[in-house]
Amino acid sequence: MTQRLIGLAIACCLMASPALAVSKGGKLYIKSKDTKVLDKADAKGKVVGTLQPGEEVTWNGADEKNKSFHAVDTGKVKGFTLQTNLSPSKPQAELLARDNGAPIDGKAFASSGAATKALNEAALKAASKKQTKTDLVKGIATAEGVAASVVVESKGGAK
Amino acid sequence: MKKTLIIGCVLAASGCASLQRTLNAASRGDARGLASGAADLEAERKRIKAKQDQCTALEKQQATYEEETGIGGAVALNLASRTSGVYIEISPDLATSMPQAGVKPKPGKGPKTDLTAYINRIGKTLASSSSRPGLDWTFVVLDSETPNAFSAPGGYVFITTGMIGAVENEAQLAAVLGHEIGHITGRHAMTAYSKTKATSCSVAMGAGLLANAAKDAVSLSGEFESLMGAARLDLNKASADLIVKLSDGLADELVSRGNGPEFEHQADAVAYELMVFSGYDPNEFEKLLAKLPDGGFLTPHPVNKARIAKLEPLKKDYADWASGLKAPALDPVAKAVKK
Repeated sequence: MTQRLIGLAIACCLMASPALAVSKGGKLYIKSKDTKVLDKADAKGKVVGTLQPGEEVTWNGADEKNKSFHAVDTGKVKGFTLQTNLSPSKPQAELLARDNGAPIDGKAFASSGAATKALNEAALKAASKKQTKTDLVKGIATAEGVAASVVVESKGGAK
Repeated sequence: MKKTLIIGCVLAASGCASLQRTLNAASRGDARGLASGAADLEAERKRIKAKQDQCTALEKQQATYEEETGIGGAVALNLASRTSGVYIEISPDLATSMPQAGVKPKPGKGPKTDLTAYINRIGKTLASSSSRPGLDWTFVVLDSETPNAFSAPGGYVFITTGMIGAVENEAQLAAVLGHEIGHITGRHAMTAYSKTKATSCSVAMGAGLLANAAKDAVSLSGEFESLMGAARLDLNKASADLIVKLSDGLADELVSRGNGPEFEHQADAVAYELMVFSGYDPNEFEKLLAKLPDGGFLTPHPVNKARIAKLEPLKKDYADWASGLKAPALDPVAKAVKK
């Protein structure tokens, strides 16, 4: 019974829920490294806090004049940050086989270096068995290399 | 129901010898033989039921990251092999940095790989707002004029040059990629995979029990048996036969039935949200849906009218967020594939 409950709890943690719009006072998550919290809704504002990916903040709405800046409360300080530094989703936990399937929270997973996919042994075994075209395998491997070389600009978003 | 039928068929087949003995005993009026045959049949039924229960338990077991990426890579190759191939031409400097991929530079070809890099920049920006920002996301451009996009578990997203040619701006491109990201963060294909795994297990177990089972069937059932003993399935250690069986089963399921309307609408909602949080005007999603043909290309999708209607509540919820968001022009590398 206990195992079933644990299993259910893990499953709930891992399943993404459909998107739900956040309302004022709701929780959002930081997605960008070294996100600055400013004292006013202006890029020239004074830095009052620095946050890291996965950290939770309370969202207090977009600034009236500069809607790309949003008011947040970190629990320690209140201030403004860019909309594109925020995420609606808490990073999901992942199960790692190397830890006997124990869940690791999404924030720790992202920094653990565990997410090294490449076309792994299983995929290559299947490709060999099915005699998949070498060009296709190389093409996807190449795309993986390109993807790995692309670093998302933390303050990015649509330019 | 499907599994019950499969196991029933297998029970009938594997129980044939016991059944024949029982019938022979009955025709001879051999009461002891009849009782013994009936006991054999009951024992056989219990044995197969126990195997079926073990297989059903596999369906409920949450796959690990390693299992997801294992099956994801195999399914990615399977689905991509149904298209014309990967669109990629590497610039000399990038090729030198990736000798492991076996890519040779094409001097003078210009920055055509920039299309893959461009798509990855947009895709990874969107994914950074998702609930699985830590996945090793890979966005692959396929060389096909048919507008299409699909995904495989573990972080593989495919988009055709035809789809890139069909979008009018970067926000619409973000909508397509965001939808596929939604399937991966929601683990939609993994739901189908769990069912495929349990069904394949039932079939393999049944086939392995047959008196005249082929060597491959016995081997596969033995492999499932050992998998069920392990805490977690590690596909890297599985046989090629098993991986192909599972990945083919899942790829066929995705192509023939798709993810189902509920998951498609969920993926749309995720795409809408990711667009907002990445700075893209989400109204472009609706504009794109309005001009795409109904029903999907490789996998079935709900009709666009229904998809647009499901976005309405999100438009209201995000009205405050969406003001001032942008629909930037496509990068020249993407415009180059437009006809």
